[in-house]
Amino acid sequence: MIEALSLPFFQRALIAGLLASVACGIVGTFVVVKRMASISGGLSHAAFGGVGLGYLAGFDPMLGAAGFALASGAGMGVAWRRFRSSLDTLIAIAWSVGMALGILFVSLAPGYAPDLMSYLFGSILFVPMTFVWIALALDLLIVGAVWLLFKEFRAVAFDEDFAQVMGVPVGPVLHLMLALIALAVVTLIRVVGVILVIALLTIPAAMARQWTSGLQRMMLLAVAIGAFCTTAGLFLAYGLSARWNLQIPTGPLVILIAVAMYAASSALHGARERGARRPVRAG
Amino acid sequence: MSEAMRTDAHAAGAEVPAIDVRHVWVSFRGMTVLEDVTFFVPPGEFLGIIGPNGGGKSVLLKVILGLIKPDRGEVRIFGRPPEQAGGEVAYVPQYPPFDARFPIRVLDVVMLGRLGARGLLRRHTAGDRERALTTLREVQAEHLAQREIGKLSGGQLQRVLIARGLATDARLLLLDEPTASLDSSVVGAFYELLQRLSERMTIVLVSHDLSVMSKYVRSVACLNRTMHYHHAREVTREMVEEAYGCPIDFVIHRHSHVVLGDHGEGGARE
Repeated sequence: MIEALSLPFFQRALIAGLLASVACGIVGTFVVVKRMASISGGLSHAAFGGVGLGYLAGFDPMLGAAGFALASGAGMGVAWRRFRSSLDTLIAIAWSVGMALGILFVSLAPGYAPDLMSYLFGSILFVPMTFVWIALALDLLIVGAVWLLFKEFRAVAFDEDFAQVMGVPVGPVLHLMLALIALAVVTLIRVVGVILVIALLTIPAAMARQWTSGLQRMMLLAVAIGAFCTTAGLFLAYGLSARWNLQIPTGPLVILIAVAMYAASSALHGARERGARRPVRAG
Repeated sequence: MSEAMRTDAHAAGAEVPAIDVRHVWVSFRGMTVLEDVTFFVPPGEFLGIIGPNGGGKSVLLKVILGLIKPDRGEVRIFGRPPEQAGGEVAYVPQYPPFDARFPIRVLDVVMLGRLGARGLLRRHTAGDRERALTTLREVQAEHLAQREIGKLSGGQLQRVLIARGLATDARLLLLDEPTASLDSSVVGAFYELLQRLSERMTIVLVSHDLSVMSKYVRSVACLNRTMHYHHAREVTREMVEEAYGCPIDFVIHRHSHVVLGDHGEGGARE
Protein backbone atom coordinates (compact mmCIF):
# COMPACT_ATOMS: atom_id res chain seq x y z
CA MET A 1 0.00 0.00 0.00
CA ILE A 2 3.05 2.20 0.39
CA GLU A 3 3.08 2.77 -3.37
CA ALA A 4 0.01 4.99 -2.81
CA LEU A 5 2.37 7.60 -1.38
CA SER A 6 3.86 8.23 -4.79
CA LEU A 7 0.50 9.12 -6.32
CA PRO A 8 -0.03 12.91 -6.44
CA PHE A 9 -3.75 12.69 -5.68
CA PHE A 10 -3.04 10.49 -2.67
CA GLN A 11 -0.39 12.89 -1.39
CA ARG A 12 -2.84 15.76 -1.71
CA ALA A 13 -5.51 13.80 0.15
CA LEU A 14 -3.03 12.91 2.89
CA ILE A 15 -1.99 16.53 3.37
CA ALA A 16 -5.61 17.70 3.30
CA GLY A 17 -6.48 15.12 5.93
CA LEU A 18 -3.63 16.19 8.20
CA LEU A 19 -4.56 19.85 7.83
CA ALA A 20 -8.21 19.09 8.60
CA SER A 21 -7.08 17.19 11.71
CA VAL A 22 -5.47 20.33 13.10
CA ALA A 23 -8.76 22.22 12.79
CA CYS A 24 -10.75 19.30 14.14
CA GLY A 25 -8.53 18.74 17.18
CA ILE A 26 -8.30 22.35 18.31
CA VAL A 27 -11.88 23.36 17.64
CA GLY A 28 -13.21 19.95 18.66
CA THR A 29 -11.65 20.40 22.10
CA PHE A 30 -13.81 23.47 22.70
CA VAL A 31 -16.82 21.70 21.20
CA VAL A 32 -16.41 18.86 23.69
CA VAL A 33 -15.61 20.83 26.85
CA LYS A 34 -18.28 23.45 26.19
CA ARG A 35 -20.79 20.85 25.06
CA MET A 36 -21.41 22.43 21.70
CA ALA A 37 -21.74 19.20 19.71
CA SER A 38 -25.29 19.90 18.62
CA ILE A 39 -24.35 23.46 17.68
CA SER A 40 -21.59 22.18 15.44
CA GLY A 41 -23.96 19.64 13.92
CA GLY A 42 -26.38 22.49 13.24
CA LEU A 43 -23.62 24.54 11.63
CA SER A 44 -22.49 21.80 9.30
CA HIS A 45 -26.01 20.98 8.14
CA ALA A 46 -26.81 24.66 7.72
CA ALA A 47 -23.69 24.83 5.52
CA PHE A 48 -25.37 22.43 3.11
CA GLY A 49 -27.79 25.24 2.23
CA GLY A 50 -24.77 27.18 1.01
CA VAL A 51 -23.58 24.22 -1.04
CA GLY A 52 -26.96 24.17 -2.79
CA LEU A 53 -26.88 27.91 -3.37
CA GLY A 54 -23.45 27.52 -4.95
CA TYR A 55 -24.87 25.01 -7.45
CA LEU A 56 -27.84 27.25 -8.22
CA ALA A 57 -25.98 30.53 -8.55
CA GLY A 58 -22.93 29.01 -10.17
CA PHE A 59 -20.20 29.75 -7.62
CA ASP A 60 -17.96 27.36 -5.70
CA PRO A 61 -20.24 25.39 -3.32
CA MET A 62 -17.49 25.49 -0.65
CA LEU A 63 -17.75 29.27 -0.67
CA GLY A 64 -21.48 28.97 -0.13
CA ALA A 65 -20.87 26.47 2.69
CA ALA A 66 -18.46 28.87 4.38
CA GLY A 67 -20.95 31.74 4.11
CA PHE A 68 -23.85 29.73 5.47
CA ALA A 69 -21.78 28.22 8.29
CA LEU A 70 -20.44 31.60 9.41
CA ALA A 71 -23.88 33.24 9.20
CA SER A 72 -25.58 30.50 11.21
CA GLY A 73 -22.66 30.58 13.66
CA ALA A 74 -23.36 34.26 14.25
CA GLY A 75 -27.05 33.51 14.69
CA MET A 76 -26.32 30.76 17.20
CA GLY A 77 -24.01 33.08 19.09
CA VAL A 78 -26.90 35.45 19.63
CA ALA A 79 -29.18 32.58 20.59
CA TRP A 80 -26.58 31.23 23.04
CA ARG A 81 -26.47 34.53 24.89
CA ARG A 82 -30.11 35.53 24.75
CA PHE A 83 -32.30 32.48 24.43
CA ARG A 84 -30.34 29.79 26.24
CA SER A 85 -33.53 27.99 27.14
CA SER A 86 -34.74 27.51 23.58
CA LEU A 87 -31.28 27.02 22.05
CA ASP A 88 -31.93 23.34 21.47
CA THR A 89 -34.97 24.04 19.31
CA LEU A 90 -33.19 26.78 17.38
CA ILE A 91 -30.34 24.39 16.57
CA ALA A 92 -32.80 21.82 15.24
CA ILE A 93 -34.37 24.50 13.04
CA ALA A 94 -31.02 25.69 11.61
CA TRP A 95 -30.05 22.05 11.09
CA SER A 96 -33.12 21.08 9.05
CA VAL A 97 -33.63 24.39 7.26
CA GLY A 98 -30.04 24.19 5.98
CA MET A 99 -30.65 20.73 4.55
CA ALA A 100 -34.05 21.75 3.12
CA LEU A 101 -32.61 24.84 1.43
CA GLY A 102 -29.69 22.85 0.05
CA ILE A 103 -31.92 20.25 -1.53
CA LEU A 104 -34.33 22.93 -2.81
CA PHE A 105 -31.50 24.90 -4.43
CA VAL A 106 -29.92 21.82 -5.98
CA SER A 107 -33.23 20.71 -7.49
CA LEU A 108 -33.78 24.18 -8.94
CA ALA A 109 -30.28 24.26 -10.41
CA PRO A 110 -30.05 23.34 -14.08
CA GLY A 111 -28.69 19.91 -14.94
CA TYR A 112 -27.51 17.15 -12.68
CA ALA A 113 -25.33 17.60 -9.61
CA PRO A 114 -22.94 14.67 -9.94
CA ASP A 115 -20.75 15.37 -6.92
CA LEU A 116 -23.54 16.22 -4.48
CA MET A 117 -22.79 13.03 -2.57
CA SER A 118 -19.25 14.21 -2.04
CA TYR A 119 -20.53 17.15 -0.01
CA LEU A 120 -22.74 14.89 2.06
CA PHE A 121 -20.13 12.23 2.77
CA GLY A 122 -16.84 13.84 1.79
CA SER A 123 -14.42 13.11 -1.02
CA ILE A 124 -10.95 13.66 0.29
CA LEU A 125 -9.37 11.44 -2.39
CA PHE A 126 -10.28 13.98 -5.04
CA VAL A 127 -9.44 17.28 -3.36
CA PRO A 128 -7.96 19.90 -5.69
CA MET A 129 -4.71 21.64 -4.74
CA THR A 130 -6.63 24.87 -4.06
CA PHE A 131 -8.40 23.14 -1.18
CA VAL A 132 -5.06 22.26 0.41
CA TRP A 133 -4.16 25.95 0.42
CA ILE A 134 -7.57 26.93 1.80
CA ALA A 135 -7.29 24.33 4.57
CA LEU A 136 -3.81 25.62 5.41
CA ALA A 137 -5.09 29.21 5.61
CA LEU A 138 -8.05 28.20 7.81
CA ASP A 139 -5.70 26.24 10.08
CA LEU A 140 -3.42 29.22 10.48
CA LEU A 141 -6.44 31.37 11.33
CA ILE A 142 -7.71 28.89 13.92
CA VAL A 143 -4.31 28.22 15.51
CA GLY A 144 -3.50 31.93 15.53
CA ALA A 145 -6.77 32.95 17.17
CA VAL A 146 -6.54 30.25 19.84
CA TRP A 147 -2.86 31.02 20.48
CA LEU A 148 -3.50 34.74 20.95
CA LEU A 149 -6.69 34.45 22.98
CA PHE A 150 -6.09 31.19 24.80
CA LYS A 151 -6.72 32.46 28.31
CA GLU A 152 -9.92 34.20 27.24
CA PHE A 153 -11.18 31.16 25.35
CA ARG A 154 -10.46 28.95 28.33
CA ALA A 155 -12.10 31.34 30.78
CA VAL A 156 -15.25 31.65 28.69
CA ALA A 157 -15.43 27.93 28.01
CA PHE A 158 -15.00 27.15 31.71
CA ASP A 159 -17.11 29.78 33.48
CA GLU A 160 -18.80 32.52 31.47
CA ASP A 161 -20.12 34.39 34.50
CA PHE A 162 -16.76 34.67 36.21
CA ALA A 163 -15.08 35.65 32.94
CA GLN A 164 -17.60 38.43 32.52
CA VAL A 165 -17.09 39.69 36.05
CA MET A 166 -13.34 39.75 35.32
CA GLY A 167 -14.01 42.06 32.38
CA VAL A 168 -13.49 39.51 29.59
CA PRO A 169 -15.66 40.42 26.57
CA VAL A 170 -17.63 37.18 26.79
CA GLY A 171 -20.00 37.89 23.91
CA PRO A 172 -17.32 38.60 21.30
CA VAL A 173 -15.19 35.66 22.50
CA LEU A 174 -18.16 33.30 22.15
CA HIS A 175 -18.91 34.65 18.69
CA LEU A 176 -15.30 34.13 17.69
CA MET A 177 -15.42 30.59 19.05
CA LEU A 178 -18.49 29.85 16.93
CA ALA A 179 -16.84 31.42 13.88
CA LEU A 180 -13.85 29.11 14.39
CA ILE A 181 -16.21 26.13 14.61
CA ALA A 182 -17.81 27.28 11.36
CA LEU A 183 -14.40 27.47 9.67
CA ALA A 184 -13.44 24.04 10.96
CA VAL A 185 -16.73 22.69 9.67
CA VAL A 186 -15.90 24.01 6.19
CA THR A 187 -12.52 22.28 6.30
CA LEU A 188 -14.01 19.02 7.48
CA ILE A 189 -16.87 18.95 4.96
CA ARG A 190 -14.32 18.13 2.29
CA VAL A 191 -12.97 15.23 4.33
CA VAL A 192 -16.03 13.52 5.78
CA GLY A 193 -19.00 15.52 4.44
CA VAL A 194 -21.77 17.56 5.99
CA ILE A 195 -23.39 14.64 7.76
CA LEU A 196 -20.28 13.24 9.43
CA VAL A 197 -18.55 16.47 10.46
CA ILE A 198 -20.03 16.29 13.95
CA ALA A 199 -18.26 12.97 14.51
CA LEU A 200 -14.79 14.34 13.71
CA LEU A 201 -15.40 17.37 15.92
CA THR A 202 -16.32 15.26 18.92
CA ILE A 203 -14.76 11.79 18.83
CA PRO A 204 -11.02 12.65 18.73
CA ALA A 205 -11.43 15.38 21.37
CA ALA A 206 -13.58 13.20 23.62
CA MET A 207 -10.95 10.46 23.39
CA ALA A 208 -8.19 12.95 24.13
CA ARG A 209 -10.13 14.14 27.20
CA GLN A 210 -9.83 10.67 28.71
CA TRP A 211 -6.04 10.82 28.78
CA THR A 212 -5.28 14.48 29.52
CA SER A 213 -6.17 16.98 32.21
CA GLY A 214 -5.43 20.27 30.53
CA LEU A 215 -6.82 22.03 27.47
CA GLN A 216 -3.52 22.40 25.60
CA ARG A 217 -2.58 18.74 25.83
CA MET A 218 -6.12 17.73 25.04
CA MET A 219 -5.87 19.78 21.83
CA LEU A 220 -2.55 18.26 20.82
CA LEU A 221 -3.71 14.72 21.47
CA ALA A 222 -7.00 15.34 19.63
CA VAL A 223 -5.05 16.61 16.61
CA ALA A 224 -2.88 13.49 16.69
CA ILE A 225 -5.87 11.18 16.97
CA GLY A 226 -7.65 12.99 14.14
CA ALA A 227 -4.52 12.74 11.98
CA PHE A 228 -4.26 9.03 12.67
CA CYS A 229 -7.92 8.42 11.82
CA THR A 230 -7.88 10.35 8.54
CA THR A 231 -4.60 8.75 7.46
CA ALA A 232 -5.76 5.27 8.36
CA GLY A 233 -9.06 5.90 6.58
CA LEU A 234 -7.26 7.00 3.44
CA PHE A 235 -5.00 3.96 3.32
CA LEU A 236 -7.94 1.67 4.02
CA ALA A 237 -10.02 3.23 1.21
CA TYR A 238 -7.05 2.97 -1.14
CA GLY A 239 -6.33 -0.59 -0.13
CA LEU A 240 -9.92 -1.74 -0.52
CA SER A 241 -10.03 -0.15 -3.93
CA ALA A 242 -6.66 -1.50 -5.12
CA ARG A 243 -7.00 -5.00 -3.69
CA TRP A 244 -10.69 -5.83 -4.04
CA ASN A 245 -11.91 -3.07 -6.31
CA LEU A 246 -14.31 -1.88 -3.61
CA GLN A 247 -15.14 1.81 -4.06
CA ILE A 248 -15.85 2.98 -0.51
CA PRO A 249 -15.82 6.68 0.34
CA THR A 250 -13.10 7.64 2.79
CA GLY A 251 -15.36 9.68 5.11
CA PRO A 252 -17.35 6.80 6.60
CA LEU A 253 -14.16 4.75 7.00
CA VAL A 254 -12.50 7.58 8.92
CA ILE A 255 -15.49 7.85 11.25
CA LEU A 256 -15.73 4.09 11.83
CA ILE A 257 -12.02 3.90 12.66
CA ALA A 258 -12.46 6.81 15.07
CA VAL A 259 -15.45 5.18 16.77
CA ALA A 260 -13.62 1.88 17.13
CA MET A 261 -10.67 3.68 18.72
CA TYR A 262 -13.01 5.60 21.00
CA ALA A 263 -14.64 2.39 22.18
CA ALA A 264 -11.25 0.83 22.93
CA SER A 265 -10.05 3.99 24.64
CA SER A 266 -13.18 4.19 26.81
CA ALA A 267 -12.80 0.59 27.90
CA LEU A 268 -9.13 1.10 28.77
CA HIS A 269 -9.84 4.36 30.55
CA GLY A 270 -12.68 2.83 32.52
CA ALA A 271 -10.47 -0.06 33.61
CA ARG A 272 -7.73 2.34 34.67
CA GLU A 273 -10.13 4.50 36.67
CA ARG A 274 -11.52 1.48 38.45
CA GLY A 275 -8.00 0.32 39.17
CA ALA A 276 -7.05 3.72 40.54
CA ARG A 277 -10.08 3.84 42.78
CA ARG A 278 -9.51 0.50 44.43
CA PRO A 279 -6.95 1.54 47.05
CA VAL A 280 -9.00 3.84 49.25
CA ARG A 281 -7.20 7.10 49.84
CA ALA A 282 -7.98 9.53 52.57
CA GLY A 283 -9.34 12.93 51.60
CA MET B 1 -20.16 54.64 63.28
CA SER B 2 -23.85 55.26 63.64
CA GLU B 3 -26.32 54.95 60.86
CA ALA B 4 -26.90 58.68 60.83
CA MET B 5 -23.18 59.41 60.50
CA ARG B 6 -22.79 57.02 57.61
CA THR B 7 -25.74 58.49 55.80
CA ASP B 8 -24.34 61.97 56.30
CA ALA B 9 -20.92 60.93 55.04
CA HIS B 10 -22.54 59.37 52.05
CA ALA B 11 -24.61 62.45 51.33
CA ALA B 12 -21.56 64.67 51.65
CA GLY B 13 -19.75 62.49 49.11
CA ALA B 14 -16.91 61.92 51.55
CA GLU B 15 -16.50 58.35 50.34
CA VAL B 16 -17.76 56.68 47.20
CA PRO B 17 -19.84 53.69 48.29
CA ALA B 18 -18.52 50.28 47.34
CA ILE B 19 -22.04 49.36 46.30
CA ASP B 20 -24.80 51.81 45.57
CA VAL B 21 -28.12 50.25 44.58
CA ARG B 22 -31.04 52.53 43.83
CA HIS B 23 -34.64 51.52 43.25
CA VAL B 24 -33.77 48.25 41.61
CA TRP B 25 -36.61 46.08 40.34
CA VAL B 26 -36.12 42.63 38.87
CA SER B 27 -38.79 40.25 37.72
CA PHE B 28 -38.76 36.90 35.95
CA ARG B 29 -41.78 35.81 33.96
CA GLY B 30 -44.00 38.31 35.70
CA MET B 31 -42.79 37.33 39.20
CA THR B 32 -41.23 40.21 41.07
CA VAL B 33 -38.01 39.00 42.68
CA LEU B 34 -36.56 42.32 43.81
CA GLU B 35 -38.89 45.19 44.62
CA ASP B 36 -37.56 48.70 44.81
CA VAL B 37 -34.31 47.66 46.50
CA THR B 38 -32.27 50.63 47.63
CA PHE B 39 -29.17 50.53 49.81
CA PHE B 40 -25.53 51.41 49.81
CA VAL B 41 -22.52 49.68 51.28
CA PRO B 42 -19.66 51.90 52.43
CA PRO B 43 -16.12 50.78 51.62
CA GLY B 44 -14.63 48.53 54.25
CA GLU B 45 -17.99 47.14 55.29
CA PHE B 46 -18.45 43.46 56.08
CA LEU B 47 -22.12 42.87 55.40
CA GLY B 48 -24.12 39.70 55.74
CA ILE B 49 -27.40 39.42 53.88
CA ILE B 50 -29.88 36.91 55.22
CA GLY B 51 -33.30 35.97 53.93
CA PRO B 52 -35.46 33.02 53.05
CA ASN B 53 -34.77 30.82 50.05
CA GLY B 54 -36.19 32.44 46.96
CA GLY B 55 -35.99 35.81 48.63
CA GLY B 56 -33.78 37.15 45.86
CA LYS B 57 -30.37 36.98 47.56
CA SER B 58 -28.54 35.36 44.66
CA VAL B 59 -30.36 37.57 42.16
CA LEU B 60 -29.27 40.67 44.05
CA LEU B 61 -25.64 39.51 43.93
CA LYS B 62 -25.92 38.91 40.20
CA VAL B 63 -27.40 42.37 39.71
CA ILE B 64 -24.47 43.86 41.61
CA LEU B 65 -22.07 41.81 39.46
CA GLY B 66 -23.77 43.03 36.28
CA LEU B 67 -24.76 39.48 35.29
CA ILE B 68 -28.46 40.36 35.51
CA LYS B 69 -29.77 43.65 34.20
CA PRO B 70 -32.43 45.14 36.45
CA ASP B 71 -35.76 46.05 34.85
CA ARG B 72 -35.54 49.40 36.55
CA GLY B 73 -33.11 51.15 38.84
CA GLU B 74 -29.39 51.78 38.99
CA VAL B 75 -26.35 50.00 40.36
CA ARG B 76 -22.97 51.61 40.94
CA ILE B 77 -19.80 49.83 42.03
CA PHE B 78 -17.30 52.33 43.38
CA GLY B 79 -19.21 54.92 41.38
CA ARG B 80 -19.18 53.00 38.11
CA PRO B 81 -21.73 50.78 36.37
CA PRO B 82 -21.01 47.07 37.00
CA GLU B 83 -20.00 46.44 33.37
CA GLN B 84 -17.16 48.92 33.78
CA ALA B 85 -16.07 47.59 37.13
CA GLY B 86 -14.17 44.64 35.62
CA GLY B 87 -11.50 43.48 38.03
CA GLU B 88 -12.88 45.55 40.94
CA VAL B 89 -15.30 42.87 42.00
CA ALA B 90 -14.75 39.21 42.71
CA TYR B 91 -17.32 36.68 43.65
CA VAL B 92 -17.66 33.17 44.94
CA PRO B 93 -20.71 31.46 43.48
CA GLN B 94 -23.06 29.23 45.42
CA TYR B 95 -23.09 26.34 42.99
CA PRO B 96 -20.06 25.93 40.79
CA PRO B 97 -21.57 27.03 37.47
CA PHE B 98 -19.15 24.93 35.44
CA ASP B 99 -18.84 21.37 34.27
CA ALA B 100 -16.88 19.29 36.78
CA ARG B 101 -15.40 17.34 33.87
CA PHE B 102 -13.73 20.40 32.39
CA PRO B 103 -10.03 19.63 31.92
CA ILE B 104 -8.44 22.26 34.11
CA ARG B 105 -6.18 22.15 37.14
CA VAL B 106 -6.75 24.00 40.38
CA LEU B 107 -3.90 26.44 39.80
CA ASP B 108 -5.34 27.40 36.41
CA VAL B 109 -8.76 27.95 37.96
CA VAL B 110 -7.27 30.29 40.53
CA MET B 111 -5.34 32.04 37.75
CA LEU B 112 -8.70 33.00 36.24
CA GLY B 113 -8.81 35.49 39.07
CA ARG B 114 -5.83 37.22 37.42
CA LEU B 115 -7.73 37.78 34.16
CA GLY B 116 -8.80 41.24 35.22
CA ALA B 117 -5.16 42.21 35.73
CA ARG B 118 -4.06 41.07 32.26
CA GLY B 119 -5.78 42.55 29.25
CA LEU B 120 -6.59 40.83 25.98
CA LEU B 121 -3.62 39.31 24.17
CA ARG B 122 -1.45 39.59 27.29
CA ARG B 123 0.16 36.51 28.81
CA HIS B 124 0.02 35.72 32.49
CA THR B 125 3.23 36.53 34.32
CA ALA B 126 5.21 34.65 36.93
CA GLY B 127 3.79 37.16 39.40
CA ASP B 128 0.27 36.02 38.56
CA ARG B 129 1.26 32.45 39.29
CA GLU B 130 2.90 33.44 42.56
CA ARG B 131 -0.23 35.34 43.54
CA ALA B 132 -2.44 32.35 42.74
CA LEU B 133 -0.24 30.09 44.88
CA THR B 134 -0.31 32.59 47.73
CA THR B 135 -4.09 32.71 47.76
CA LEU B 136 -4.24 28.93 47.64
CA ARG B 137 -2.01 28.92 50.71
CA GLU B 138 -4.38 31.37 52.40
CA VAL B 139 -7.25 28.90 52.09
CA GLN B 140 -4.99 25.95 52.95
CA ALA B 141 -5.34 24.39 49.54
CA GLU B 142 -1.82 24.79 48.21
CA HIS B 143 -1.31 21.05 48.05
CA LEU B 144 -4.22 20.86 45.58
CA ALA B 145 -2.61 23.20 43.02
CA GLN B 146 -1.95 20.48 40.43
CA ARG B 147 -5.14 18.53 41.11
CA GLU B 148 -7.79 18.35 38.41
CA ILE B 149 -10.88 20.36 39.32
CA GLY B 150 -13.18 17.37 38.89
CA LYS B 151 -11.26 15.40 41.52
CA LEU B 152 -11.95 17.71 44.46
CA SER B 153 -14.43 17.22 47.26
CA GLY B 154 -17.17 19.81 47.72
CA GLY B 155 -15.31 21.57 50.51
CA GLN B 156 -12.01 21.59 48.61
CA LEU B 157 -13.74 23.03 45.55
CA GLN B 158 -15.32 25.74 47.65
CA ARG B 159 -11.91 26.74 49.02
CA VAL B 160 -10.49 26.84 45.49
CA LEU B 161 -13.34 29.10 44.34
CA ILE B 162 -12.66 31.38 47.28
CA ALA B 163 -8.98 31.45 46.34
CA ARG B 164 -9.99 32.38 42.80
CA GLY B 165 -11.95 35.31 44.18
CA LEU B 166 -9.03 36.37 46.36
CA ALA B 167 -6.52 36.18 43.53
CA THR B 168 -8.19 39.14 41.87
CA ASP B 169 -7.25 42.73 42.58
CA ALA B 170 -10.83 43.25 43.65
CA ARG B 171 -11.77 45.75 46.33
CA LEU B 172 -15.15 44.13 46.72
CA LEU B 173 -15.77 40.44 47.39
CA LEU B 174 -19.24 38.93 47.04
CA LEU B 175 -19.96 35.46 48.37
CA ASP B 176 -23.13 33.45 47.82
CA GLU B 177 -23.71 30.84 50.55
CA PRO B 178 -19.98 30.10 50.70
CA THR B 179 -20.24 27.70 53.61
CA ALA B 180 -23.01 25.57 52.12
CA SER B 181 -20.67 22.72 51.23
CA LEU B 182 -18.10 23.17 54.00
CA ASP B 183 -17.80 20.83 56.95
CA SER B 184 -19.07 22.52 60.09
CA SER B 185 -15.62 21.98 61.59
CA VAL B 186 -14.00 24.39 59.13
CA VAL B 187 -16.78 26.98 58.97
CA GLY B 188 -15.34 28.92 61.90
CA ALA B 189 -11.88 29.02 60.31
CA PHE B 190 -13.47 30.14 57.07
CA TYR B 191 -15.22 33.09 58.72
CA GLU B 192 -12.02 34.02 60.48
CA LEU B 193 -10.33 34.14 57.09
CA LEU B 194 -13.11 36.43 55.84
CA GLN B 195 -12.70 38.59 58.90
CA ARG B 196 -8.98 38.99 58.18
CA LEU B 197 -9.77 39.80 54.57
CA SER B 198 -12.32 42.38 55.60
CA GLU B 199 -9.40 44.46 56.87
CA ARG B 200 -8.40 45.09 53.29
CA MET B 201 -11.59 44.78 51.26
CA THR B 202 -15.34 45.26 51.32
CA ILE B 203 -17.16 41.98 51.74
CA VAL B 204 -20.79 41.13 51.15
CA LEU B 205 -21.88 37.66 52.13
CA VAL B 206 -25.21 36.03 51.44
CA SER B 207 -26.27 33.25 53.73
CA HIS B 208 -29.24 31.72 55.43
CA ASP B 209 -27.02 30.71 58.32
CA LEU B 210 -27.69 33.68 60.56
CA SER B 211 -26.44 32.05 63.74
CA VAL B 212 -22.84 31.55 62.65
CA MET B 213 -22.58 34.46 60.30
CA SER B 214 -23.73 37.12 62.74
CA LYS B 215 -20.71 36.38 64.96
CA TYR B 216 -18.34 37.66 62.33
CA VAL B 217 -19.98 40.23 60.09
CA ARG B 218 -20.13 43.91 60.95
CA SER B 219 -23.70 44.44 59.84
CA VAL B 220 -26.65 42.39 58.77
CA ALA B 221 -29.36 43.06 56.21
CA CYS B 222 -32.49 41.06 55.51
CA LEU B 223 -33.74 40.49 52.01
CA ASN B 224 -37.06 39.07 51.03
CA ARG B 225 -37.96 40.80 47.79
CA THR B 226 -37.45 44.07 49.66
CA MET B 227 -34.31 45.03 51.53
CA HIS B 228 -34.09 45.81 55.23
CA TYR B 229 -30.73 47.24 56.10
CA HIS B 230 -29.89 49.68 58.83
CA HIS B 231 -26.09 49.55 58.78
CA ALA B 232 -26.12 47.88 62.12
CA ARG B 233 -25.08 44.53 63.42
CA GLU B 234 -28.11 43.64 65.46
CA VAL B 235 -31.00 42.01 63.75
CA THR B 236 -34.21 43.53 64.95
CA ARG B 237 -37.45 41.73 65.40
CA GLU B 238 -39.05 44.02 62.83
CA MET B 239 -36.37 43.34 60.24
CA VAL B 240 -36.75 39.62 60.46
CA GLU B 241 -40.51 39.72 60.60
CA GLU B 242 -40.61 41.93 57.56
CA ALA B 243 -37.99 39.92 55.74
CA TYR B 244 -39.34 36.49 56.45
CA GLY B 245 -42.94 37.59 56.47
CA CYS B 246 -43.75 35.24 59.29
CA PRO B 247 -43.93 35.32 63.07
CA ILE B 248 -40.55 35.62 64.71
CA ASP B 249 -40.77 32.36 66.59
CA PHE B 250 -40.56 30.50 63.33
CA VAL B 251 -37.31 32.18 62.43
CA ILE B 252 -35.89 31.69 65.89
CA HIS B 253 -36.80 28.08 65.69
CA ARG B 254 -34.94 27.70 62.42
CA HIS B 255 -31.90 29.51 63.73
CA SER B 256 -32.12 28.10 67.18
CA HIS B 257 -28.92 29.70 68.49
CA VAL B 258 -30.03 33.21 67.75
CA VAL B 259 -31.66 35.29 70.36
CA LEU B 260 -33.00 38.37 68.78
CA GLY B 261 -32.66 41.54 70.74
CA ASP B 262 -34.20 44.90 70.33
CA HIS B 263 -31.69 47.57 69.47
CA GLY B 264 -28.97 47.43 72.02
CA GLU B 265 -25.71 45.63 72.54
CA GLY B 266 -24.56 44.67 69.05
CA GLY B 267 -25.22 41.31 67.51
CA ALA B 268 -27.56 40.00 70.15
CA ARG B 269 -27.08 36.30 70.30
CA GLU B 270 -26.55 33.46 72.63
